Amino acid sequence: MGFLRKLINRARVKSPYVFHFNSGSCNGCDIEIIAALMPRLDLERFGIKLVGSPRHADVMLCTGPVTEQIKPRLQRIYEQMAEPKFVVAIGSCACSGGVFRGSYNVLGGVDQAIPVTAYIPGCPPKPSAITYGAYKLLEVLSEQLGISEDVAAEPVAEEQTESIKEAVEA
Amino acid sequence: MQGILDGIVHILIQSFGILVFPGIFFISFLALLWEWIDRKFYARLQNRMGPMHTGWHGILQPLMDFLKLLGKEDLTPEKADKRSFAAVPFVMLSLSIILTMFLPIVDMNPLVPGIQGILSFEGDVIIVLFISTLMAITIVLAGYFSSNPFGQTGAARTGMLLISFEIPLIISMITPAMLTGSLRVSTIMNRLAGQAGIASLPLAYLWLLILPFIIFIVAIQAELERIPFDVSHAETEIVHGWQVEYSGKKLAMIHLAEDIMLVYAAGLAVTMFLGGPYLLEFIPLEVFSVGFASLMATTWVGWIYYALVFILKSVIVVLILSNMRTLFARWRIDQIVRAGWKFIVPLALVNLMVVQFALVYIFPLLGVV
Repeated sequence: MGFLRKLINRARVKSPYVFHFNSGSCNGCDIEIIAALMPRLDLERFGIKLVGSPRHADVMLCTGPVTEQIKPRLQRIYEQMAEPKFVVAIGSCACSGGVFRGSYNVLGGVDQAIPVTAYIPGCPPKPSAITYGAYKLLEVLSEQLGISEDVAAEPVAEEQTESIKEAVEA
Repeated sequence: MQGILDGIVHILIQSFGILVFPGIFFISFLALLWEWIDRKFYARLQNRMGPMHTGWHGILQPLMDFLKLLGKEDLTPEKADKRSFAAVPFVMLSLSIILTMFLPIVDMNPLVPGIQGILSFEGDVIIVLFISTLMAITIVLAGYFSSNPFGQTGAARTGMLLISFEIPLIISMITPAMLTGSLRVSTIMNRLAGQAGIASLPLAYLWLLILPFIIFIVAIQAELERIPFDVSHAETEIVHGWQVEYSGKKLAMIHLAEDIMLVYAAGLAVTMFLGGPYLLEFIPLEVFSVGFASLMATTWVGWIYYALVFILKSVIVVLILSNMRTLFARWRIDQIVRAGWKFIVPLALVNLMVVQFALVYIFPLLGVV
């Protein structure tokens, strides 16, 4: 039983299906998510697959400051996902509300409505930053589930790491 | 005593054939392998890498997807018909496995000349076509039992695909049956290949198989609901259509059933049109004459050889199907129905008439019988 549990935990890290939810974003982050799935950075390398239905998904990608109107929908769709589920907030708006913070009609951040596992800042974040965030999430998950990665996923050149870090910090 | 022992050995061999090779385990292995090849080829054609970090070049990715879905929570909608909702994935999986058991991969019945599938009897082409239609009907049921508007829309669209493309599929499979004068999958294959002591057909007959093969590939793409015929689970308009409410184990089973249907589709194309698991026998050399076939039929080397040739030919068909998936965008519903009824069905009917005409008038006139 222990072996099977371990295998399924490993499978969870190896094949996250992502589902994309726009919680009031300006579409900038959405386009960058699509760009991260495109040939240049191809998130499918890690087994990440974009699915349409929240029932199939493991990870929900949220973009945008949660508006009052979309909050109940966001919570409902979060509840429709099957356990175990994770939420990634993509973009400054989804992380903290961004330029809309304090506005009368936004909550300011996805974590005001539902629990969030990872934050990827940026307005909009570069596709490389999204890839980096996805990879970090997988790393954290494998630590949580008790599976350590034996091999580093991809050797990244020094200057690329710098640019990714800059992109994440910016 | 000897008779009982022989009986036990026979039962053991048969159950090994059904459960492991070339039965359920082998077919599931092929299904996961085909999905990997499909995804990888699709990604490479789009200039992407595809799965990379799960096993060698991501070869374990479909297995990992399957295991992950097995470990996920299993949700059933409140309004759904719960028993039927839970039953549909089982029915789909078992029907698809039964379908693949009709494919002659290695010789499971040495008493009958030629390679036989696990299930093989006179008239099994009709059963195969019947069960593959039932698969489409289970898809419709899956949509309706989930009681979701998206699911029901997807189910309705599947029904529409069914009435448009099931007919050319059946008509295209009549041609090999007419040429060989048999309704048994293994006899059709062995006669078309001209192997195992069964009288071969004149080569001129094989030209008649080209058009039905093209129709078959188009129709089977619609049967599998892959792009350009994926209106029934269009992600961008009706979020996965009939699959929308399925999660966890049920979704894992549905995905496996779809992959097994891909194995069945490629295997059926190989069996009916590409000569089945024969390859070296077609080389006109002394080494590959009758002795080779009997050696292959009696030893375990033959099992590996036939399985490898079957895999090789099926991969070619899978690559053709993946190529179609990449080249086209999703067609609209009206475009699909129009393509089906205005071009594919008339083409199939004309082809049927041409074959009959050639068989009755032209070939006897030319002296090719």
